[in-house]
Amino acid sequence: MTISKTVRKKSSPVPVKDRAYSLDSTSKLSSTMQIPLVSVVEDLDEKSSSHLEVFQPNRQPQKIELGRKELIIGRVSECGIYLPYSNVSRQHARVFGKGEEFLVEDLDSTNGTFVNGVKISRCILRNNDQIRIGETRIQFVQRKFRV
Amino acid sequence: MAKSVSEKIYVTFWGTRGSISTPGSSTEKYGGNTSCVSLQHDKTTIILDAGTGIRNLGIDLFQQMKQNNTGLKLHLFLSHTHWDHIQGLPFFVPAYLKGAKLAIYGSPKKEAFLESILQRQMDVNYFPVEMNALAADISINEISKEKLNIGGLTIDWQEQVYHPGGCVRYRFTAGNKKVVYATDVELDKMFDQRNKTSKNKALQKEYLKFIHGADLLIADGQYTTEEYPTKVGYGHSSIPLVIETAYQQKVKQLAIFHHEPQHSDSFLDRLCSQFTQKYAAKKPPMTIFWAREGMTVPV
Repeated sequence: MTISKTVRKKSSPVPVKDRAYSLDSTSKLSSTMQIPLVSVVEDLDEKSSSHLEVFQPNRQPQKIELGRKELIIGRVSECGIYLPYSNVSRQHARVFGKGEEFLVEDLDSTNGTFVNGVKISRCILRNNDQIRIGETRIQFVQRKFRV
Repeated sequence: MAKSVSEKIYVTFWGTRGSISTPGSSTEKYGGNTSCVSLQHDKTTIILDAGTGIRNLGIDLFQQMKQNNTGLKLHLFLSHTHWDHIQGLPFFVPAYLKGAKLAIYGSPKKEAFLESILQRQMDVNYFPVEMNALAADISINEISKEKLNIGGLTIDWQEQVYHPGGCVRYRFTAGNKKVVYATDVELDKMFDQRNKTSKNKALQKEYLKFIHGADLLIADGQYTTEEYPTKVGYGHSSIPLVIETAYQQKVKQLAIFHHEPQHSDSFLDRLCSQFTQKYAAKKPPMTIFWAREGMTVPV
């Protein structure tokens, strides 16, 4: 039995002068103005934003910006989103940030928290997700920028 | 009377994609990681499959362990050993922790091979760390015909023949709550009207009985009706058939799982709205959702 052996041929290097550009010359192509990466990141971080749009029955829609602090949704007036309805638990759910994401978590409420119609215990939120608590609809809106 | 807390099962999806992981902005909502689901019942943690989604679960378990200062005792049930169901295992942090216990269960059809299959994917040619070097106390078990009890959960299973190489479906029962995990099966072949053999009829009956009345059925719904004819024999089901079969068997909630890699978030959104509303309006209604990474549902 003969075993044929494949030999990978080494490709001959392309002479520098034949390349479209050489590594030595890239500095000539770059901008003369240096932009520090850290300021780019900070700028994009400022542009990234997440908020909730709260639609309660017979009330004007409400916009709530989300930050690092957790937001409690419930029937007691101290809640970040105050829903004074009998089918809403005193502390019904919370929205909080974890890493780069926002999550909604049900706080063992009596009537449940729903995301896009599904009863959840916890859920990572994505742009345009609809949270439902009782008759209140809460839309999660996210504008994300990344480097 | 309110249901006892100990009956509740919390089901979390860590990987919902079928066949191959699909990272990217078009799959961010439903997720790009391959099959992995966890079940939490009281203090028992069950893991279903070890696709790439198990990596994030491992990180989460590790953080919980550090926070609560507790040990880890985990039970991993493998439906089968295709790549998309085992590939995340080498990246599962608890497997590297001394003192952690990981019991892996799989089909007896694999016989002694289950251990060697898992070991081989950690051969030095594929991965830098060999399975023998993992610090956790790992046991590999073939499931037997008898029902298994872990904590307050009873587990039974059946072989699903309509998947190349075979696959196992599992049922987890706690009190009167039932969760069925039945991924990677070609129901279109099982319910093919032309196949009237007694063997096939028995397989149909077994399946229907197994999923009947499930509080949550996690089911393979990889293809649309239009896609299926070009995918015959791949071992996956068409969505309308999965849904209608579940509805006929009085399944209360259906999670469509093992999403086709080519299906983007907006495509899955359209499928979701097409079927969800239709079955929510039926009497009795059935809740359908497309499983998405990072979602925990109470059962």
